[in-house]
Amino acid sequence: MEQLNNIGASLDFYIFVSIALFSIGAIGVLTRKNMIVLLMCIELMLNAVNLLLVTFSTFFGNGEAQIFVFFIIVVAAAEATIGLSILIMAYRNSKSIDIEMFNKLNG
Amino acid sequence: MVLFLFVLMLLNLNNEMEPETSRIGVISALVAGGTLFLVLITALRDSFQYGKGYTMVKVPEAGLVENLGKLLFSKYLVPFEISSILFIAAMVGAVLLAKREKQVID
Repeated sequence: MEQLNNIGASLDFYIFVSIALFSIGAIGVLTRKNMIVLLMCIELMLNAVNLLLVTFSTFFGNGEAQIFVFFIIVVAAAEATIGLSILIMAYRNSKSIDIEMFNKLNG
Repeated sequence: MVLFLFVLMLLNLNNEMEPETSRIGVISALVAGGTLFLVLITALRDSFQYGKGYTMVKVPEAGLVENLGKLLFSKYLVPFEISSILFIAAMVGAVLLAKREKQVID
């Protein structure tokens, strides 16, 4: 328990890791065209925010942020489910997982 | 993550199906992402001088499952129930979307 609460001195490291994860996710979203990788990068950005919330929750000794983390995880799971099912449907229709495929939706 | 693995298994992908990305797009995306990283790091460095006064609160029980559960089932009960509705909606939507049916776009 003492170990859990000894993060005060190294709070900046947690923030640094969170920023790095978020930036990697953003770069992945901007760079890749594979839809599966895009969804994974969105998950990565959500998890960066989760890490930041848990860090500050432990830092300030307030458990409410971890409840928010639960809800973020729930929403991320729902979003991943819907996204992957859309991906499967798109793959069945066009045999491709390129994100550019959705340009066909352009009227 | 398990869901991603299942989808990877279902889709039967191979190497030539990997969509190619243009070089200029990759470079500009890397520049934009690197700039985002630098801006956030600079903001973090600037915020250190304001955070000097804060010390860590020693509440070891804050993150325990017991307290989190009490909080979740008292103060955050309504969002908890709403999230269950969200889950059911997502599940039904996923089943409806991924159901095999005859439909062709072009």
